[in-house]
Amino acid sequence: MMKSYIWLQTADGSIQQVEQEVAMFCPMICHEVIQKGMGSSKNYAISLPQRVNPAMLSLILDYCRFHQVPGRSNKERKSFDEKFIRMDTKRLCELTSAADSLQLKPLVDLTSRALARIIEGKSPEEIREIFHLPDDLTEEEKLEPLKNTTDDPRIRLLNRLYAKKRKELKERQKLKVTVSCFCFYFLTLRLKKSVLMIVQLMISCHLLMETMEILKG
Amino acid sequence: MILTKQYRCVHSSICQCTKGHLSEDVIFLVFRQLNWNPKLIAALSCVCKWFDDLAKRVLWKEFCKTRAPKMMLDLQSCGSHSVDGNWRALGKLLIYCSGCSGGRLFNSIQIPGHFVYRTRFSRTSGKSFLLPHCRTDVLYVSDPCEHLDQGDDGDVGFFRGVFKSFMVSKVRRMLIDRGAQLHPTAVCPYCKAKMWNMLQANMVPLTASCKLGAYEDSIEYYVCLNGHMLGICTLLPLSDSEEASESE
Repeated sequence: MMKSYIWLQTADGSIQQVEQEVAMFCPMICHEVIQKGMGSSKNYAISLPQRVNPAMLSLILDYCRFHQVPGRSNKERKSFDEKFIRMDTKRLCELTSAADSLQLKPLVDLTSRALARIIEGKSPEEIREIFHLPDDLTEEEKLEPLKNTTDDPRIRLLNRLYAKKRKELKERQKLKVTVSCFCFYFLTLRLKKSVLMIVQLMISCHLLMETMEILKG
Repeated sequence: MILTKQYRCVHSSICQCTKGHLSEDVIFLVFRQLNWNPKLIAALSCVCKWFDDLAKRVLWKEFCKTRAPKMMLDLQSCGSHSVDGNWRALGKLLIYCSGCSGGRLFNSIQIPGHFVYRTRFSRTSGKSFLLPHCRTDVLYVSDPCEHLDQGDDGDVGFFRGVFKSFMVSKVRRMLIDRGAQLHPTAVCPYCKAKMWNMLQANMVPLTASCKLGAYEDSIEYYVCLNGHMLGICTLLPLSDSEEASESE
């Protein structure tokens, strides 16, 4: 019987084909195949999440290739797992991330448990060393004093935005007041004008009537 | 994606949060495996600025949500929310009895603060600590942490609690209206904000002593600007209170 393959593409652009039963062990890939009909050919290769680079994909597929075989005993699986996670911390982190993006829960649990065992019972300095993190806290911060909430850069930014908004609103209010004043003034001007016009009209009417009277005799 | 991505580092110039192989999602997954162990979260906070920020933003929040799910749901409902950073204070409040030290807050003998294995917080209990006018406010109060046989002070009980939406509460309104004084030196052991003296403001109802099983005039309690509550009382000896309830 011909084996069917699924085509996968990693973020770096490289495409590879993987045995169907192995690839389908990953829920995310399964979803892409069944719901969206992807992966059947090179042109329709399934784009894997960015966190899955070729090295991680290779590891994940090794894991899937072993575990998707139904006949294995629990002891066999456990033994495989124990050997499988023997890698440096950096790779474990990357693998956790990659497995999580493919929704492969059993592998996520395995790797995160391994990482948990690594950091359990460790002091801050040791954790810093394990993950190669900078020592950028002040001595005061290490003693856990309260950082005043206004020190939080996000809250400072928010406060600045609020102040800006308040200023804008004030300006808009001022503008509204001046505009309405102007309108009112303008209206009264126009009124004045029309009043003037009416008065002028009345005067001219009056003059006309007087002239007519004179003409009449 | 479990956590929303931070596109810009807000920590320090040498921070690794946007570089490197470690992501916040991975730390989230690892701590979930560790069941949000508070000792480890605290240790993580001392590693670097990024982890400190992560602890305050996410880890303490998850700790609170798993330890007291119903209480947290209630505290966050109706659009109220705990500000980032106050999750740590809330987490500490769940597991730490602050005692009294240096006679700062309570004029009593020295009883050091300590971690408590398990505490029950109750909203119904909280009602007894509010004046009738303020009973619409939601206050969670713990059962008293007993420190028996403290010499002259008898059996001392410490209790602690937290208000929901303290900023819009009636209690806060009343404290401000009455011009209640903030304690000059002491600060909240959970969030280090200043504290109001409820006794001095005449805001301790008689129902409080019944609830605690304590002598009526032995209750003192303080509320901080963020709504954390802290109190002390002298507990009635067990036999006495049993007699009292029988005679009722």
